[in-house]
Amino acid sequence: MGMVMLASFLVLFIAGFPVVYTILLPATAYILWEELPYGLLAQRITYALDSFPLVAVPLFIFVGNLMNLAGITDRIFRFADTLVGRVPGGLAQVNIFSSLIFSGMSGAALADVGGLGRIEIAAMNKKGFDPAFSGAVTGASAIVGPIFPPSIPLIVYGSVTSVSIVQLLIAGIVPALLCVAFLMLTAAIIALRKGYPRAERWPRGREIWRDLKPALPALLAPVFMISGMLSGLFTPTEAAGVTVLYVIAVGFLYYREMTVDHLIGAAIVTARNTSAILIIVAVAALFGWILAVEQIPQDVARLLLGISKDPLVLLLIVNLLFFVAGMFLDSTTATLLIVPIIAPPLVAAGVDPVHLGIVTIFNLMIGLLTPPMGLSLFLLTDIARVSMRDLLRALLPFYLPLLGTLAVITLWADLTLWLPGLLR
Amino acid sequence: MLRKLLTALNVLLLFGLVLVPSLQIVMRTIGFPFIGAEELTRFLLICLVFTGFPLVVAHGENIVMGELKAALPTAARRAIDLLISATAIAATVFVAYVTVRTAMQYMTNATPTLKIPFWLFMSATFVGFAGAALVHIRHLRHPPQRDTNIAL
Amino acid sequence: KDLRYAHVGAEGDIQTRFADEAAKAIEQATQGRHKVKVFPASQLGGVSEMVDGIRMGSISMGHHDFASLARIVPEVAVFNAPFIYRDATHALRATDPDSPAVAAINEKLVKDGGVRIIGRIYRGARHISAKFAVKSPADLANKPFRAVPLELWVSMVKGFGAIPTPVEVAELPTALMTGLVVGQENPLTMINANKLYEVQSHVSLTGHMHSVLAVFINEQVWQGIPDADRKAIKTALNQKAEESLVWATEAEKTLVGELKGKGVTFVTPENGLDLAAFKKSVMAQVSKDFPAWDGLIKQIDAVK
Ligand code: NA
Ligand code: NA
Repeated sequence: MGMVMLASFLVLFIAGFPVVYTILLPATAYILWEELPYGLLAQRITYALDSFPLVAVPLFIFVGNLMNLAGITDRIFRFADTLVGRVPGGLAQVNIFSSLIFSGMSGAALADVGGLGRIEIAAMNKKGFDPAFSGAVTGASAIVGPIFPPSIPLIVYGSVTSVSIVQLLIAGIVPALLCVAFLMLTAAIIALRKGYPRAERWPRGREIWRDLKPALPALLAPVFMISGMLSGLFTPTEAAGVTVLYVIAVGFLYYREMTVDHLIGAAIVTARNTSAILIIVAVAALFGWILAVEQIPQDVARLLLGISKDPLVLLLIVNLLFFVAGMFLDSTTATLLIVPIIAPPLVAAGVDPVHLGIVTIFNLMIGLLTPPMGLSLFLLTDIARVSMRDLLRALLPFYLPLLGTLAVITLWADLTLWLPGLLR
Repeated sequence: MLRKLLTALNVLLLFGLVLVPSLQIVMRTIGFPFIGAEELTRFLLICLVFTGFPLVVAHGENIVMGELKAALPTAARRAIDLLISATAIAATVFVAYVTVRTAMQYMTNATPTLKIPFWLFMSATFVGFAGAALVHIRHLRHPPQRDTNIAL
Repeated sequence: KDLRYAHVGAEGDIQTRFADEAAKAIEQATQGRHKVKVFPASQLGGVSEMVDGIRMGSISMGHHDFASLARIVPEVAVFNAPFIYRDATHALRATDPDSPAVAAINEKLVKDGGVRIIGRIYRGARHISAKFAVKSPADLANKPFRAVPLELWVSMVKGFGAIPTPVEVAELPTALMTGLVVGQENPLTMINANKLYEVQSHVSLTGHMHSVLAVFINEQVWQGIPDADRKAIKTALNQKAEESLVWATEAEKTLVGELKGKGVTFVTPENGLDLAAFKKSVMAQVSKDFPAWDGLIKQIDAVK
């Protein structure tokens, strides 16, 4: 019966049913078929959201929406332009670097593409970059967002596996920086070969300071948030609430661009974005219940541990699995449906749960950029106005640094674990 | 009218979600932690997600991989859209009905700390699915123009 | 039909061993007429969801703290009360499903919630851990201390002299490291399994609570089982309960040695732990907050 459920999920998914119904319909059919109490449906869907860590999801979506409205996004871009515009690749490097800064406040890859991405692509096209290349750089660099804290995917991961979210967030810092370095290197090589424009000269101290000042609040947000968590002042979820208040304060008092209308508008959009994502978390819990009763996790565990008991081999297998899953599923659905099945046997075999979390989420974020179902790809073709074919061709060289980072963080666990290790 | 009411409710709930955890930091720092703040926050989240759901459906913002469907001929696409609306109506109406029944059955249930009654949570779930059903019924005659993909 | 047995215990916990062995014992005792499938680690939902699931019948049976049934019959939480048992053996005797106190509560549970307590698990005593030596309530005066957000725990932590502060289990190690809370209380198995020794230097062997978990079942499912099999199941569970007491006592002994090896200093009455002061202060707070428990406490105390 479990297999029938999975199959019908896939059929509905490919046919273009909203994800919430691709899960709800087979699950309801199962409950009727097995004559389980109907109450299970209402109870499980409602209780699934009874989770404190998930509260951070609407809060960080709110932060991303407010930042785009308060003009913070523009300032981040201007500062990055001044600082790294001279590096070979010019605006391409600015694009990558600003994703890192933006990421310090926003927890989602698509918030980066949809907000900052529009500004970056417009600026690059104006300077004469190939639109497909602009789109590719934007998409590749947006992957950093959900790895560097804060991160909505990591919060969802922590809430389904009961791994410490503070540990997960801190663990993402080094891999994110590594990924940025690899991406900037790749962009530099491509730019030198194609002779892309860059800034005339390196910035003077005075210019850096001039553009740093307006970007400072955005730069300070993660510092403030992480030090608050480390000093025991607040938990990750509370940090999210504080960040919202911080952005509102900065928007009203420092930039003086925000209005009450902006605030309400951002709140309305945030509420809908939240509901669209978390309603899937709710129905996925029902699906998870049925898979558990059908003992699917045990079967998968037996299968996996039958192949090998070596943590590294298992990690490589799981990477392959998530890479394929990421081609078809969006990251939230993949995290909710697959992680609870995969994580227990791997942790039992000796894989560190925090390490597994970072590897999994980074892998699934690459899935946003892989056909046939890559949400970032669709958004990028829309914003950059390029065909999927051109975009994919321009993206091809960027898979190398992304998969390279994935390989490094998979094979070298300590790279991810030493920073959170200082906290134990 | 209903849409405006839900939107206003959502905005209030979201601000509650920002303020309760922030307030808790202050209370804890001055030595008076608010026991039950987490429970209240979770309650607000549940209400936000479910009461926001009809608006998500109305704006065509459900997460969906509509790329294959979009490549189909118009007639086939229209057929799938009808099928989606019909099955969605059946599922949402059923969930809404089950929710009312469950809430009635466990009327005395409440959260452990703040004693927030169980039926209040269930009302949010009911509003979400019943509201979504209404929007889907509307979609039978006025199908949504296109799917807007959003996700994280 | 198979019985679905759910619980929230993780791999390696006594309650997980109990559930697995109890499932086998039930099958044996009923000559295979009743098979039990165990779903550990919150696979079928968290605590409230599990309790409600057993009420509605989507889950047949499960186990958790007595206090988790307080959403049906509030006074059942008395079995979790601190300093209420003389020792572990007394705790096990007093929670026998056929003892007068449990029987009285069972009647209400069946009537109001459709569930019935049919067994129990002894999971060990709970002790206080901190980054410093906690010898008496004065050492915790006005310091933030982790409390499970339930009235009983809040009351108890107040009795410790501390400020009850809620923290999620997953964030507990970090919260202890950063000082968001200065200490917490749990059985030694939990302190060891969650590596709290990495962030805590001292464990005070207060044994303030004897953690006894109730095994409960959906009443309709229970009545659907023939009388003879019900008796056999209860005997099997009782046997396992006695065994769980042995497991817990042995585990505690080895764990003290193991944790010492990991650098934990134990505070005992020999080196200054003032148990009487803790008992007095906590009991005063609890009887102030829960006046309705007096009768039940007397019944429990009367159990030999
Ligand atoms: Na970028
Ligand atoms: Na981020």
